Formats: sequence, C-alpha cells, structure tokens
Amino acid sequence: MKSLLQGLHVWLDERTGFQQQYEDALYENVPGGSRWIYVTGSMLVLAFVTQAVTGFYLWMFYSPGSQNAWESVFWIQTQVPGGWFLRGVHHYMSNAMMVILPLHLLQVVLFKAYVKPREINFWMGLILMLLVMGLGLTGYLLPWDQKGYWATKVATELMSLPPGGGMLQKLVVGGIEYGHHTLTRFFALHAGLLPTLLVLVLSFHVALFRRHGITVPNSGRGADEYFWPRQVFKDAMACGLMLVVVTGMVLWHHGAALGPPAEPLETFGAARPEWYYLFLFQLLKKFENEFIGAIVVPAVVMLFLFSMPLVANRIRFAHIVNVVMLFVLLGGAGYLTYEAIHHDGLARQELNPPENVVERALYFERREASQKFIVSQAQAQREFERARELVEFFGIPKEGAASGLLKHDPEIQGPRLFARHCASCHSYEDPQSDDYGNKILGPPIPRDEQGEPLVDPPPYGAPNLYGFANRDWFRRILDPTDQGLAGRHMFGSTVHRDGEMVTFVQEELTDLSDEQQMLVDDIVVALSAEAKLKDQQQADQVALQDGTIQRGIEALGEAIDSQSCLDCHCFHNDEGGMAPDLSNYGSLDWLTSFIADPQLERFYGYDSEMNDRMPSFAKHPHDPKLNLLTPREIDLIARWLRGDDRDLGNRHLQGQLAL
Amino acid sequence: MDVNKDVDSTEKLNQTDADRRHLTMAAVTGCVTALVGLFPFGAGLAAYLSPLYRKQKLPAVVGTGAVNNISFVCSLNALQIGAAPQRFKVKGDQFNAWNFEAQKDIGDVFVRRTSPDRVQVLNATCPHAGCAVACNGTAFVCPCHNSSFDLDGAKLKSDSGRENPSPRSMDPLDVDSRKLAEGEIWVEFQNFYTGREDRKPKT
Repeated sequence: MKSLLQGLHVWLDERTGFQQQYEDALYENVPGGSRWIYVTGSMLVLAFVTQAVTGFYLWMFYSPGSQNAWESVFWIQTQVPGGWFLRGVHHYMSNAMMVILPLHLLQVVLFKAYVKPREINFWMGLILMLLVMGLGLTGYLLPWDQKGYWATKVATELMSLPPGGGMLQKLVVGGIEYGHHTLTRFFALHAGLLPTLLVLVLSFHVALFRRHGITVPNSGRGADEYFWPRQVFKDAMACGLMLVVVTGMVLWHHGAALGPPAEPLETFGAARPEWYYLFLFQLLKKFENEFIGAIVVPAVVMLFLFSMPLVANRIRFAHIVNVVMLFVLLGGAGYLTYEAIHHDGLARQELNPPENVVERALYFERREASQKFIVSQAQAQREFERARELVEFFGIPKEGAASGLLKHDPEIQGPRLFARHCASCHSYEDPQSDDYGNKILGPPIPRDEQGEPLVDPPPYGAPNLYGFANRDWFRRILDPTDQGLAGRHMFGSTVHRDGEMVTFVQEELTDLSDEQQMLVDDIVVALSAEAKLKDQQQADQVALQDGTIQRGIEALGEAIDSQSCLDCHCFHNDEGGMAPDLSNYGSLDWLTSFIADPQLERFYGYDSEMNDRMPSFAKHPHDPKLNLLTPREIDLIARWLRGDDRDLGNRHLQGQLAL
Repeated sequence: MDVNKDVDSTEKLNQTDADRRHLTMAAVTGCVTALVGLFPFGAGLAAYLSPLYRKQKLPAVVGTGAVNNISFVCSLNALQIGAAPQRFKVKGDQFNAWNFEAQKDIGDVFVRRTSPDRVQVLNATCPHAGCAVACNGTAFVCPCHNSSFDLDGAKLKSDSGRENPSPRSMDPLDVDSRKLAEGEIWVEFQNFYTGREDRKPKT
C-alpha cells in the first residue's frame, strides 16, 4: 500500500513538480520567527474564498430583475432551509473583510513592507482594496430592497459628477432609469468581473509576496522559522477566530437584514450605505460642493496612498509622515463613521443641547433628522414583516411582491400615503409611548431663532390620528387637562384650540362628580362604538349587552353641567347645530367621506371658518381630475387608520388581491 | 580576397534580409495575436455600450396616437391658493429594459398654487444626491444628507446652524400653458443630473 502511494507520488511529481511547489510554500522562511501580526493576509484570503463559495451557493437561488430580485432574496432568507444562514455568512464575511483590510494595510506600512522593491505589490494591495469595496457596493443593490436601492441610487448619482461621468453612470445603471438592467449589470460586476479581477490581482499579489519574502523591521528578534508549522498554526487560529465571530454575528442577527422591496417613488427616510461606506456618506454632508466630497477628497487620499512607496526612501522622514498620515486617515474615516452613526441616533440619547447659538440650532435640526431616520427605519422593518405575512398568506404573484401584493395592502400603503399627503399636518404616534416603532412624524414644532422649540407655538398642525375613534381617542377629546383636547395630540396645534369645543370641555368637564364622570365614561364607550372598529369588536359587544352604550347614547342629550353634546352635534335622529355629525363617527364611510371633503354639511360645512386647513381630497366623485387623491387611496388610508385589514383573513383584502 | 568580400556582403545582405523578415513576422504576429486576443472584448462592445446611444423604439401600438411628452398632474381647481404643496405621482410611458409599461408612475412632484392662474411644480428628487425629499408643511427636507428648501423650492442657507449640502434649489418643471389656461396642470416631466449647480436634463 505504502509503496503504491509512493509510486503515485513520484508519478505525479515527475509530471507536475508539485513537491517543489508545496515545499516552497510551506518552508518559506519567516525571518525572526512566526508572529501573530502576520495573520491578516491569510484571513483575507480565507474571507475571499468564503465569499466566492457562499456566493456560488447564493447564485443558485438569485434572479436579477426588478420583479424577481427581492423575491428571490426573500425566498432565500425566509423559505430556503439554511438560506438565512448562508446569506448571513456572505454578508458578515464581507464586513469582516472591511475590518481586516485596513489592519493588513496598517501592518504592511508599519513594518515598512511597502518600500522598494515592494512598491508594485503595495499597489496591487491597494487595487485589491478598491476591488473589495466595489464588491461591497455592487452587492448591496442586489436584494433590490429599499435601502439597497436608495443607497445605490445615491452612489451612482455621484458617478455623474466628474467630466464624462454621465456616460459612466449610464453604463453602470444600464440607461437612465434604474431597473432590470441595473440589476443585471451590477450582478455581472459583482459575481463576474470584479471577482475575476480580484483573483488575478490576488495571484500576482501572493506571487510577488513570495518573491520578496517577509519584511521584518528590526531583525534579531529571534531565530528564523519556516512558515510551517508555527505561522500556519497562528494563521489558522486567527482564521478560526474570524469564523467564530462571523458565525456569532450571523446567529445573533439571524442573518443579514432585508428591507421591503424597492419602490423608486417612495421616499425612504433611512437611506444609508453599509457601515463601511458611512465615512463617505458623512463626508458628503461636509461640503457644499459635492464634487469635492465625493470625488476630490477620495481621489487625493487614493493618490496619497499610491505615492507612499515612491517617496518613502527618497525623502527624509517620508516614512514617518506616511505612517502618521495613514493613522490620521484611518482615524478620520473612523471618526466620520462614528459621527454618522451618532447623528442618526441623536434622538435616542438624552444630551444637553450646546450653549453656542449656532451649534444649538444645528443640534435641534440634527435631532429632528435623527427622529425621522429612526422612524423610517422602524417603518421599513414593519413593512418587511408585513410583506412576509402577506407572502406567507397569499404567495408571491408573477408581477412581483411590490406591485402584486404590497400595492393593495392598507397596512403598507396607508402609512405611506399618510406620510405623503397627511403628515405635513397630522402625526400618528402613540401618546403613551416614546417608542419610535409605530410613529409617523407630523410637522416639526416651530422653533425660535436659537432653534429651541417654541413653548407656545402658533397653530401649525392637526390632531395625532393614532387610535382614531377608539375609546382612548374619545377620552382624550373629553379630557380637560393638558394631555386632552387642548393638548398637542388633539387640538393643541390647530385653530380649534380656541374653539367652543375646547371651552366646553374645559369649563364643563372639570371637577366632575363620580356620577358625572360615569356619564362621560359611558359617552366615550357609546361614541367609540359608532366606529365599529375591529380591535374593539368584543369590547363593544360587551358594552352593548351590559347597557353601557344605551346609557352613553342617552347621556349625549343630558347636560353634564349646563350644556349637552347634542346642543351642538347631530346624532342619528337628534338634530344638533353647528358641529360635526357624531352619527357613525369614525366608521369607514364616515372617515372616507371626511377625508374626501371635510367641508360637507355633516362635518365642517356649516361654517367654512371652522375647518382649519384640511383640504378636500376628493370633492368631485364624478370628475376625478379635480381630486387630490383617488377613492382607492382614501380607502387605503381609512382602512389602515381603523385597522380594518390588519387581519389577513379579511375578505376585503382577499378581494383586492384577486383583482 | 574579392571572393571572400563578396561572400561577406552576400551574408550581410542575407542577414539584413532575415532581420527584416523577422521584424515583419514579429509585427504581423503581434497584430494577429492582439486581434485574436481582443476579439472577445470587441464582440460585446456594441451591446455593452448601447445605453449610451440606443433610443428604445416605442411599441407600434403606442405610435398610433399622438405622442404625449407631457404628463397630467391634477386640475387647477383641485388646489387651494397658498395652501401647502401637494404631492402627486405623474404618469408616462416607460421602458424597464425588456418590459414596456404605458402610463406608469414615472416621477414624483410637489405642486403649489401660488395665485389663481399660476402654479409651481417641483420635481421631488433632491438635487443633491437623488433621494426623494419630503415636505413637512413649512419646508422640504431630504432624509439622506439633510438638504433643505423653502416652499418655493429655494435652497435654505447653510449658515446659521443649518447644514445644507445641496448645490442648487429644487428643480422646477415646465407647466404646459395651454392646458393651464384650460384649468389643468400638465408638466413636462424631467429628471436632472444631481450634485451640480446647473440643471442638466437626463436624457
């Protein structure tokens, strides 16, 4: 047996010379002995091999194209057994490369391994770094989710800045509009061209490294060693550690994040590049002239890096300057990354605003921007979860998830339409909670010249529509305190805060006896039952049976102190006067009619002064061109506000999707 | 001696001849090798560069009517004078590579009626880096790099405690005056290159 193996060995070696090759590789001399600091190169090679292998696996499931890309990634992420893990490894290993690359660069420069005769190999390394960054950029778009789409849109818009950039942009995007061809081109770059170039350059890089050998700055450190086994052991341990960390990240985050499918006409408030591009993102905010931030500064930095080996041995102290500059650059990039993350998270922190007037104004502005970012991020997460529910319930139709499913769903479209058409006056936020998870921000509170929010602002907004027409909503309306009708969640930002309703609530409903309070509570229950909200179905049923609703209806006509509700409002057969009709308040019909035209007789039509600034969104059922919203859009908003279609078993939604 | 000389010169002649032949051979081989090697790159060049020059032809069925390069936004009377800007999606014919869609949403605009017979239509794309801006009732703000604009679309000053990296104000779109006189707002929808001070249409 042994002689057979030996024979095979000799036979192979005569024909390939492999014995010599692996001896060269394993018995490479390591001057001064093996060291932990040499491990970064091997780690990068392993990381790249992992990317190539996991990339091939992913390739077997992925389909570029704007009706397929998100859908196929979603499929990998949620349906394919182990798919989330595979995608997670591919994602976090790319992150690992971005961490180790600068360390490798730093090690090479610190050890002066970039100077003559190793200049070319140093440049190869820089080219490899650019290729890896290119792989990161092109890979980010492929899932075709909102964040990938918008981050890539910004990156490719920047390409048009230098002369001839417009043409470059068209070639990369595959035309003017983003679509199928953007994905096919990015995919060809990501899975074809860039990895091929990387393999070629990497082969040269390793071959040249072998030719020049390892550089040790201060020899006499210890006895020389061969690469095998001590250095190999150290490399293997470091690689193992990297795999443990990457696997840990994948498990911790349950794979890589995926957002809702890309929609080119939906403002995405949380468009950010991957963290390793955040320093460039932040740099863009610093210059009014984008060309400088996006092109000139990065180009000068690259030029500097490429020129490092040329000056190192020619000019005195140039090496020291190179080392210092490299630290400054890496530190600067690190700081910009920190700043970008810090600014985005500003609203979550309790900080004292700066004293300086300008900085103070800036602080408040950044805080507002941060709120929007956090809210948008939470919304994207919610949309993804909802998309997942929709897919699991209905399956993905041929035209794709965005136009086949999400387009018809009130839970997805409602908040988006609200943000587009309502949020310049209304907000949507749980008044009991500071959590940004379920918020849609309304207009910003007006600020004084120092940027400080005004304590007593002029009317600038409209009620917060969270929980519209439920019992809490009516409790707030009938609440005379600062948290109630005159507070910022209700009439506090509208002209109605000086209206008769506020006067009534504040004068009649303060210091109530227990008996009066019970009347008010019954009214709350009775009025809220008018909306027939899905969430309150059971509670309404109970209230109907135990007579609360009946008592509440009767109480509407009774004077709490000196006036009753029906002195002003209509309620079914009871004619009121100059205030919105409370019959069926908050029902689907009531709400859609109100959005369509608040100036109707039923609502504020009795006195045009009483409607604050609410436009009539669809006043003309027979002439759609005169309307601001279509009936379908209003229906989507109303159903979402009422929570009608939260339950997917709902027949209405099924009917819409069958269309 | 003479004979030897002759032999020498003939040899020399032969030598230069061989050199020349060798050089020609080298040049021809070089060219052929380069051509052969470059062939695969050349084969795909026309297709690869097509986004630069190719104008996609509209399907014949679209060509039967008059081609509209303006898009409907809304009726003039749908807007109150001086009210906050309203947001609309405008429709047009669009290719997405091999797919063609007639009258699909192609852009996003903000519209404001400034006087009984004047409107202002702004492209919702941020002129800084191409994100979509949002209106908060008092200003337009971009969620990406915090560019901000007043309700006229004019860029807000970047001093006095405000970051504003946008190189220009928001992009107004041309409103069709004939249609406006008839009470309807139609615009020539157009996207522009971002990140530059001047407005260069994307075509």
